[in-house]
Amino acid sequence: MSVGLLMGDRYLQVTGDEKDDTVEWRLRDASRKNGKEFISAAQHAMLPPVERVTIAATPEPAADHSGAIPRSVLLVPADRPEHVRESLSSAADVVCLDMTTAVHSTNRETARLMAWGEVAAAASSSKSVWARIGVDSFREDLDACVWPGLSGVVIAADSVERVRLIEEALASLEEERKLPQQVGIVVALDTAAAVWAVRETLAASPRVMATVVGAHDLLETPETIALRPSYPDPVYMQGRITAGATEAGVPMIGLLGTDIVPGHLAEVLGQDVGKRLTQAAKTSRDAGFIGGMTTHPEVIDSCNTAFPGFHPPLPALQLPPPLPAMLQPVVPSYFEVKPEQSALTPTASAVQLVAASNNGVTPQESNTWRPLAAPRQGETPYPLSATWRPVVPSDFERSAQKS
Amino acid sequence: MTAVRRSMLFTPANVRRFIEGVWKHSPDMVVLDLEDSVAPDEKQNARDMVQEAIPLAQRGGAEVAVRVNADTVVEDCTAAIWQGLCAVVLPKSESPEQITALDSLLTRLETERSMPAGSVEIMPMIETAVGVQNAYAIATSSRRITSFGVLGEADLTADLGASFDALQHHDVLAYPRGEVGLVARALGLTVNGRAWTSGKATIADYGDIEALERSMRASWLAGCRSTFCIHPRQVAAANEHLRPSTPDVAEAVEALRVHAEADRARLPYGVLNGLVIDAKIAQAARHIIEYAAACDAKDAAKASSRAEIEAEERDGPV
Repeated sequence: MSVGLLMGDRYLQVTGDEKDDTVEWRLRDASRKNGKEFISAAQHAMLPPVERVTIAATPEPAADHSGAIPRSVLLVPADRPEHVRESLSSAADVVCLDMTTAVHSTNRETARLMAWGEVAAAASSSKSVWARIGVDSFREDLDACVWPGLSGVVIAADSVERVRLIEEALASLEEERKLPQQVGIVVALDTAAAVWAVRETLAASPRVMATVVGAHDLLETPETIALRPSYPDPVYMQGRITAGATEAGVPMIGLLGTDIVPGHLAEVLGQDVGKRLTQAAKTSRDAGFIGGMTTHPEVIDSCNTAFPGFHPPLPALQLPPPLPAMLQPVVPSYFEVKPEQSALTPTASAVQLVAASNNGVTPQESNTWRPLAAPRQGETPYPLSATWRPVVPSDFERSAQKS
Repeated sequence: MTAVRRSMLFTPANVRRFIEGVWKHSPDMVVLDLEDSVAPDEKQNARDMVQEAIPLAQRGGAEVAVRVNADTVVEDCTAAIWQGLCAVVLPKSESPEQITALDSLLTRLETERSMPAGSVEIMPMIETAVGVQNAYAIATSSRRITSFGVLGEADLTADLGASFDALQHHDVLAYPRGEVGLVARALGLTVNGRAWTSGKATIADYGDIEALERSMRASWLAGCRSTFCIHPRQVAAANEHLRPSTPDVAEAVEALRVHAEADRARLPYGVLNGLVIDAKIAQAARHIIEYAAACDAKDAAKASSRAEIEAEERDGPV
């Protein structure tokens, strides 16, 4: 049995085999060419008088993945159906159709054309299906891939407004297409601005279901200083992301902690690549990550091994039984033992000690001396602003506008 | 052209001998200091000398900035804002109000003295805990701020109650550096300052040349473009290491070639020595090549200015 569907500018042929219960799909391929030629040929084939057919039946996802933890997310280029088909038989928990980075710019339209069939095919397997979409083309990309079976979209976002835009676009597509599921948002943090606003961004919508940390991207933007990520220890950024994500209640996905970076191909990394990848995944797990995202199928096994795939329940806090009152340890304080020495005046030896470390000037002699880390006395020299403010135009700009 | 300010050398504004000879050290920028390197009773003398010092310090192809005192900003700026000055370094920057006040003052002085509006930049020095806490508000408080970073390791360490010696073994400034650096990058400002490396390589300690060079290289890799110097040794190390190295440039050129090839074959990325070269990395490669060229141009301009001065000193004025 074969059905042809024309939806907007997409034309798909779906063929079912009743014996082994599989569904084959392919784009109508009149010219057997790729890229632009193929699209124009397909568009030509779709010209009237071909009737527009609306989709009646929606393929149900084979399994409910709403509560599943994505230990391993495999990115596959959406313009390569053969890769997508292959990925469905991999061990990855999630197959993510990449419609941006892994697709050449001239092939993006082809990828959008193919997304519907790929989502349907992937949903009928046992995988969760995500799609990575472009920031500049998010409406077109969403329009192409939000179909029954899709459970998440991966997109870079650096502000609350950006997340809300995506949320609205998703909601209207779900409504329009009567989707049985709600599509989640996986926020990719890949700019400094995104890390700065991480807490607000991740808390912007209940649809945000995870965040992907692209170490490679982060360390390279916006002013690049080397081709390879080389920041010695991005400890602050990692801390900020972890704190923000934890506060927003959003799990983190990513691989960090070794010399293996997303931009490197696994095959050039040497013999013990499996061991090193597993170590990377373990390091990430220990840093609070729940899974890894990768373009390399070799990494999948390492991720599945290292990440538990569930949140281990915290052991109940075992408090020791309270001590009987009379057994409470009581250590006498200094002032109880030697009241005469406990006044807050420095002893003579302490003054000498301070003077020795202060060019011979004692605290009493110097009016500028203050102990290290002493609290500020009185008001700070400048009033502090209560809230952060956006960039305000400078005087010279304002006067230029007036004139 | 991209501004190249790898080394910013402090020179006390009241010592004419230093200012006349500063070109020999070849800094990208000379910072005429009215603050820490000038004794309190010399302040007025230093202020009186700044206007004359600007063209002197410019000899040798350096840009010239001035570091004012946080408590006498008005007096210092009135004495120092003259044609040729590119920036005011504001120590102990703690609040956006401080910056907006300075901004207004600069605008007034620029108008009075027929200088191009907005030509004098503000370089806030973040060197107190309050400054770190208000980093974002400070960085966004004026468009005169084009670069940002922790500039004032010693004072910040002291304000945090930490030991300066401990910096040799442990980065007590990891959080401020991270916060301020992230703010700079998030706002698209050039990152100033230095990354942490172990050993004696703080701004106040330049005895260990190996540690100094390692520190400069690490700073470059961490994204820092410029650093303050208090000694000519630091200038040489900054000029050499706060820029793409020759192998960096060669790799970037190769990366562009690989990317162009992949693009012709309609592949999303090419591969160079196991590194994926996609559009983003290709853009990075372009950055590296352009910035290396800008550094070379700056070095060439400085070299020709130096040659002129040397000829003049040898043969007398033309």
